[in-house]
Amino acid sequence: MKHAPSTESLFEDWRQRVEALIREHPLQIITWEATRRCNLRCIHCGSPSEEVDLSEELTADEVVGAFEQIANDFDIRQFRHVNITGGEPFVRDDLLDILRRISRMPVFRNIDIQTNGIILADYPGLLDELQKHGVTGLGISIDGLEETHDAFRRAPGGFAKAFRAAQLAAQKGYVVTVSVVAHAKNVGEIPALFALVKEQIGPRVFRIMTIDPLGRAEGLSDYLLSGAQLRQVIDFLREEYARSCATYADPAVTMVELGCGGWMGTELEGSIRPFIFHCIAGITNLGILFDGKLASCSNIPRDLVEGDLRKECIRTIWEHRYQRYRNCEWKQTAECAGCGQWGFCHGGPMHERLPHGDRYLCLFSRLTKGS
Amino acid sequence: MASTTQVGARTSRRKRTRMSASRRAVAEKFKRRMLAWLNPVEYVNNMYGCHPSDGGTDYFKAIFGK
Repeated sequence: MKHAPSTESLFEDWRQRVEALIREHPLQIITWEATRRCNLRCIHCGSPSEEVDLSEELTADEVVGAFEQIANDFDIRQFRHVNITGGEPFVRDDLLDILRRISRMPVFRNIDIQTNGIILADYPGLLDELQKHGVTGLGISIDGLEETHDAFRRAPGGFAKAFRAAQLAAQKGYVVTVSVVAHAKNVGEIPALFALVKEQIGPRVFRIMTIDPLGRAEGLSDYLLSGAQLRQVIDFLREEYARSCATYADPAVTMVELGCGGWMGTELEGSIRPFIFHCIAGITNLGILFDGKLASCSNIPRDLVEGDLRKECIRTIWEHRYQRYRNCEWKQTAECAGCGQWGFCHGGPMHERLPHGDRYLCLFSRLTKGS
Repeated sequence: MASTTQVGARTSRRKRTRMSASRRAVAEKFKRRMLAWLNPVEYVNNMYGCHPSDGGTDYFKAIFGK
C-alpha cells in the first residue's frame, strides 16, 4: 500500500527544490524602483528621498533600454512579472510612456504598481490607461483606520484617497492588494481595518507587513512591535486564514497574508498566508533601483548594491555577482548559527541583515523566544 | 549548503487547541499542496499583485480547490 508522504518529507522536498532554484537563479521577477520622489513623507518610510541624489534618476529611455536588454539577453521562459515601487511611482510624469513601451515586449505581460493611491484617487482616469499598458495589479497602502493612517502617513485626507483608489481599482478588475504596515500604534485596529477593507473594497489580498527599523523608521522604537504585539498579528492571521482559506480558489475572496517578514517555521508556514515563504532576492528577483544601481529588491540597504546598469551589462552582473544571496553560509552568524530552521530560510531576507552578516530582526526567533 | 532543519517547532499550542479539528485538517491539506508545488517560490514571485498561472495551471484552484 502506498502511503502519503509525511509533512516532514514534503518540507524536505520543498527545501531541496529551493536550493536547486538558488543554484539555477532563473530571472522570474523584476522589481523596478521607478523613483525615490514621493508626494508623502511617511513616518516609517524605508526608502526616504532625503538619503539619495534625486538627479541621478534613470530617464525613460534608460529604463526602456534596460528592459529591452533583459528581454534580449536573459532566458525569460520562466519570467513572471514586473513589480514597480518607489517612492511614489505615479509622480513620474513619464510613467505611462514607459509602461506603454515596456508592455510592447510580450515577456513583460504582467505589471503591478505599489502606490499610496493619492494620485490615482485624484486622477481615476489613469486606471483605464494603465490597463492598456500591461498593468494588472495594484498594491495600495492603508496603514490603519482613518485617523491612524493619516497621522502615520502625515497626510490629512490620505486614508480617504487610498481607500477610494483601492475601491476603484477593484471595480475595474485589477488584482488589488491592500497592504498595512503593522506597528505598535495600529496593531489593535487591524481586525477592524480588515473587516472594513474586505466589505467596502474587496481586494484579493489583505497583506500585513511588520514595521522594520529602516530608513525614517530607524530609531522609532515606540513604533516597533513588542513580542506580544507580534503574537497578536500572527494570531489574527492564523485565525482568519483558517476561517476562510477553503474559499481562496474564488478570486472574489479576500485572502490574508504576512508579507516579506521572513520564514516563520514549519508549523506556521502555510497557516498564516497562502504559500510557503522563501526570500527571492537575488535568486529570482532582480532589483533595478531609481538610479540604475542593481540590487535584489528595493528594500535592500544601498551598501548591498551589486552593480550599475549604466556601466555594465545586466546579465553579466546577474550571473556573476549576487553571491551573497546564493552562497548563504556567511549569514550563519549570531542567532542564525546552529538554528534548526537554517535549512529552510538560509538566513532569511536580506532586508533584515547588516552588510557584515548580523541579523537584526528575525520574526520566527522573536515569536518562539518571545524576545 | 547545510541542511540543518528542524521540522515541527511549535509556536502556538494555545491557538492550535482553539482552532477546530476540521479547519486544521483543511488547512493542512492545502499546506501539503503548497509544499508539493513545483516552483517553491511561485506565490512569492507573484505576491505583489499579479498571480498569473504557472504553465496553464492556476495556483489558487490547484491549492485551494476541493
